[in-house]
Amino acid sequence: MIDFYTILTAVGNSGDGEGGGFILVLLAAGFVFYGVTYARYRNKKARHKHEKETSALVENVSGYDNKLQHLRGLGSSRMQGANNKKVKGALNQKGNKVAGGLAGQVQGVVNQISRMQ
Amino acid sequence: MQEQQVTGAGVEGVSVPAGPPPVAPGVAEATAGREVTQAVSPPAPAGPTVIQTDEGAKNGQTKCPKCGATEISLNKASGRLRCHFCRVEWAQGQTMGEMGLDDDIRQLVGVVVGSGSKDIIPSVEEVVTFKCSSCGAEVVIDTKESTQARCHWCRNTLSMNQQIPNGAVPDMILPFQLTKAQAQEKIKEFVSKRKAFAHPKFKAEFTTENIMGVYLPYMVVDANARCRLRGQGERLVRTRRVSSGRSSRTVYDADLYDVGREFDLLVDDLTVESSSEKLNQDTTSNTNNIINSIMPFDVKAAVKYDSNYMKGLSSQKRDVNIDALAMVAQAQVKDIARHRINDQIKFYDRGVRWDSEEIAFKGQRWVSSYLPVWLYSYYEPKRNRQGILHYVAVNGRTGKTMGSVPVCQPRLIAVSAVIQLIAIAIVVLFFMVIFS
Repeated sequence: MIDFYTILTAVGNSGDGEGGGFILVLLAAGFVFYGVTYARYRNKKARHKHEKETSALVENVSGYDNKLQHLRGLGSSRMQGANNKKVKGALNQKGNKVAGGLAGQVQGVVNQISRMQ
Repeated sequence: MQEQQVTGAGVEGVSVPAGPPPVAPGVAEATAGREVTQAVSPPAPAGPTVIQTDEGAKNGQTKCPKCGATEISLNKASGRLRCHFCRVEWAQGQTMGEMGLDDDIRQLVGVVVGSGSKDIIPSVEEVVTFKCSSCGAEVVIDTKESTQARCHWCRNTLSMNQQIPNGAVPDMILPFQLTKAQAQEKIKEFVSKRKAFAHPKFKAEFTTENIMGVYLPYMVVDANARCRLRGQGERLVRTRRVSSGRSSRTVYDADLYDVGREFDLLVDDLTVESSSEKLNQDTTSNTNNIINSIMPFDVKAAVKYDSNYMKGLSSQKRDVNIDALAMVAQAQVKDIARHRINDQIKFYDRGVRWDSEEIAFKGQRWVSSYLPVWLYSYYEPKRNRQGILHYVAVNGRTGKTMGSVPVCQPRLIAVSAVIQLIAIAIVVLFFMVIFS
């Protein structure tokens, strides 16, 4: 008869293997279900994707690309601090510090107008 | 800051062919070690250039061109005005292009504003009085609610089409194209897909009968900008597995570059809310982000403001000036710049970190506009704190629908817990089978 500790150890070790990811997802199934369902009903992250949906043209491009060095053994598949896909102008993004700042400034304007009315 | 290099021998690697950074179409001389500099934006003229958008507009009675009746409203199916008496239909008002509000953005210099976008003067009265030209009675219009009123004596409709600096009459209006029945169908479809975990009170009270057609105030912004982005980018060279003891992990080798891009950006019809209430998109206390998410609108089809387009519909007055909206618009133009230039930096497949983002606005154009939204709203009271007004919104032109449905938390938590327990049981059984 195997005990529960053996199973937990096996689950812990399985994270490194091929099917380990699937088992970990299975172990979080209830939390995932809650999060996905809540997001589908409340749509708190829904917003106009102004960065993609606004019509815009880029012209007269110039620039430079200078190689600095070769980096070995990086741990992440993405560049650390890469921000070329970041959105800072959305008003409903609380996680983004800069957008939070913008939302805060807008809130200041909103409060000012409310006081005037 | 770069990640630490891993020491130790790399085992079997997946090599990515290295190559020189590509010179994308339109990139002029991406030469090593030499930054290409561009002319700085020309000085902007002092003060904004105002385009008068209410020229020829009249307050009072606007009459049917065929029979002279004042019973005029929008036929949402055709997007044209219709006389209720003789049923004749006609298109009223000039388009943005005809009013000079859609000229070539390349030629845009300085700040250009429509006269309906000028600053709101707080002392200007919201309630205005007109004399009915048929019977002489005084008719009061509360511009906070509407720009039309009916004469109590002769029953004629009086309209306010001339702009006063209180934000009630914008430069443009985009007429509804979606009928109420179509919007009801969209809302019903959206909610019916979310009924399983909806709040029981919401389910019992939900009906699309009371949805409202609302013209909400927006600023439509064009921008002619010169952008200069500088930073560093990484190009993947090789992926490999390294092992230490019994475990192994993936590591990446990459080339690091100094990257810079300078370009002209022409932004057409960026749309920003100009009501202080709708600008507040704090999702912990409201669902205004839902209304934001049904954009974009086809604002090119907007026409000169005419109160008759609003008959039977409601509206919200603009209460935010351009100065206050500039920070939102500028942040969004920067986002557009950052995302559009991604096509030119595909070489950096591990990403680019922009350390400096400079945007010089050569020209910008601000046009205030009423845009059409069908709204279903439901107030969910909360214990010990302020309740939340949930919206299901439909774009009155494109039909794009988004909403927030109140959740029955006990039910959702219970079902999630059951799923969690079943999943754990499956994992335990799986390992019991393996180890037995």
